[in-house]
Amino acid sequence: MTTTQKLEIVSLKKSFGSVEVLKGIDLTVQTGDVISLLGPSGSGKSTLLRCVNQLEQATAGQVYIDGHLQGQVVRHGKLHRLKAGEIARQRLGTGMVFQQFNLFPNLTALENVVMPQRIVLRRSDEVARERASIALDRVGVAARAQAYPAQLSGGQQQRVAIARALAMDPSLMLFDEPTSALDPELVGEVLAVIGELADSGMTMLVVTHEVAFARDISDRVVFMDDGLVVEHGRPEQVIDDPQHTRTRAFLKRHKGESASTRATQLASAVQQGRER
Amino acid sequence: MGTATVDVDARAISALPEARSLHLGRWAISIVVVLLAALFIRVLATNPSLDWGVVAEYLFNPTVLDGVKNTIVITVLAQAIGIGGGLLLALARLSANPVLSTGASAYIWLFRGVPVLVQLIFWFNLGLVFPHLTVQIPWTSITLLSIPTNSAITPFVAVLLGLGLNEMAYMAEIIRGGLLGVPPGQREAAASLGMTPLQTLRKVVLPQAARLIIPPTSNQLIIMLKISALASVVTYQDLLTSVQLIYSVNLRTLELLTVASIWYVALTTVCTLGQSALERRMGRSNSQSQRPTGAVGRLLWARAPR
Repeated sequence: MTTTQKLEIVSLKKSFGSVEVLKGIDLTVQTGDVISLLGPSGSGKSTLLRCVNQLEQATAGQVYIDGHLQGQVVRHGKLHRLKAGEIARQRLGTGMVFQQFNLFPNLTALENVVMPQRIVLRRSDEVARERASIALDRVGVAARAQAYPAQLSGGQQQRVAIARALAMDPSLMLFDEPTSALDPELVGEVLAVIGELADSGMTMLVVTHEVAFARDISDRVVFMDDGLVVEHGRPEQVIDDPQHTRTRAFLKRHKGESASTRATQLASAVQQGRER
Repeated sequence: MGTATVDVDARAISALPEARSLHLGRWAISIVVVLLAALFIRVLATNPSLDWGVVAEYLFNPTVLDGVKNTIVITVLAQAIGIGGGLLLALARLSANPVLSTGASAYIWLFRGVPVLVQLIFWFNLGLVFPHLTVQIPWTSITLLSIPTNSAITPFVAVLLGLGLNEMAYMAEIIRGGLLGVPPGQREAAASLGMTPLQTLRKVVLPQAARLIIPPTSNQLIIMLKISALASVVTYQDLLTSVQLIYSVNLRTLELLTVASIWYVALTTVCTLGQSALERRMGRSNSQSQRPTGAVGRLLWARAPR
């Protein structure tokens, strides 16, 4: 089996003022891989994700998607920052889902999915609406297509946000704590959708605190702490047999949670989502 | 046992009819307000020095109607300059370019600092400072256009510049507030979908900022309607100038000022109704939570089918 390199992150560093959030990250993602990023709050997971699609500009290091350098260009032996318009074009193949959903509140669910296709991909209204309907159906909110975000539950909003990203035909999906802002009973429906997407072969980077979920969907798990990758490997290795004390300490806290009934419910919701 | 004695059975209490509140304080204040209003109307209606017949006679006088038309024209155009220029100034102020943002701040500082009446008179007398307005290719003596300032700066142009440029400074601050009121996550979501900064501004930020910008802008429009009366000092024939022309001849000052006031109130009412309608239209996506404010807005809200 041949694998192709989808994403390569090379010695990535990021500082906010004097605070160094990422201290040199190297990570390679093959096409079709699902990678979960675990780690305590403030460990740099979200910042890493945001550097991948240039929402944050790295202080040092490079990001390559499909072998193309992101956000920068080599000209006359020097690295130059790309213009905003060029960065916008580079972001086209990458979809992102945010913790706070970030749906456009003045547009209906359907319009949220249609508008970016019309503006960015210049699709006709007809095509955009059809693609939007397919995407909304895929995440199970087709029935609420005419509702405004304020009229939807958090879980529904996040699923619309996933549909909005998918309608742009990305080949890489970034999830930034997609269930952290949800009420516990709504977490399952969103994880089910993300799990299905993982099964469909989408290349994904998922920042999450749901250890059981990460274990279930990931090809590899990356454990980060204090701006560095502490441990990296198959989920059985990292989650069930962690080698580092920091990984152990983190998992001890989160496994207590995963033993609870809530996580069991969650796992069954994921399962139900897949069967459906 | 220490349970308190219950004098009436709970079921019996729940069966009791609810007493109506008397709102005595509310009644007392209402009576005072109505009395004062009646007194005010009586003074106006019965005052011998205010002839309502003259008011009626001049309400639709052609000169007055001309003034009304000119007041509307100057208000709409000056406010349009204010909104368009204010948007550019707001974007400049929020720009990462320090020259642009400092320049915009300086403009706002200067134009908010000088009274608009002074600005009007200044523009009207521009010819004293610059006798000729010249378009010339820089560092050469090739002149493309040169006209005497006094023929370019008509009273109309002076009023438009004075009110418009002044309004730009205020609108810039209102629009900047609106732009900052849109959560940063909205721009990030748009960026993550591949939208350019300009597409993000037009399709995501401005439509949401508009909801924050429209109420204070309607207020500005109403203010503009009234300060357009300053046009009378530079001899532009607006509503106030029109009635002044008439009462300088027939000396029915009070009657003609009443005519002008009736028109100003009527125009303001139209603006207010427009504002309510616009806000209702913009409020569709969160109609459960947003109710219009203001008496007229609430009245319309109550009547609007939901």
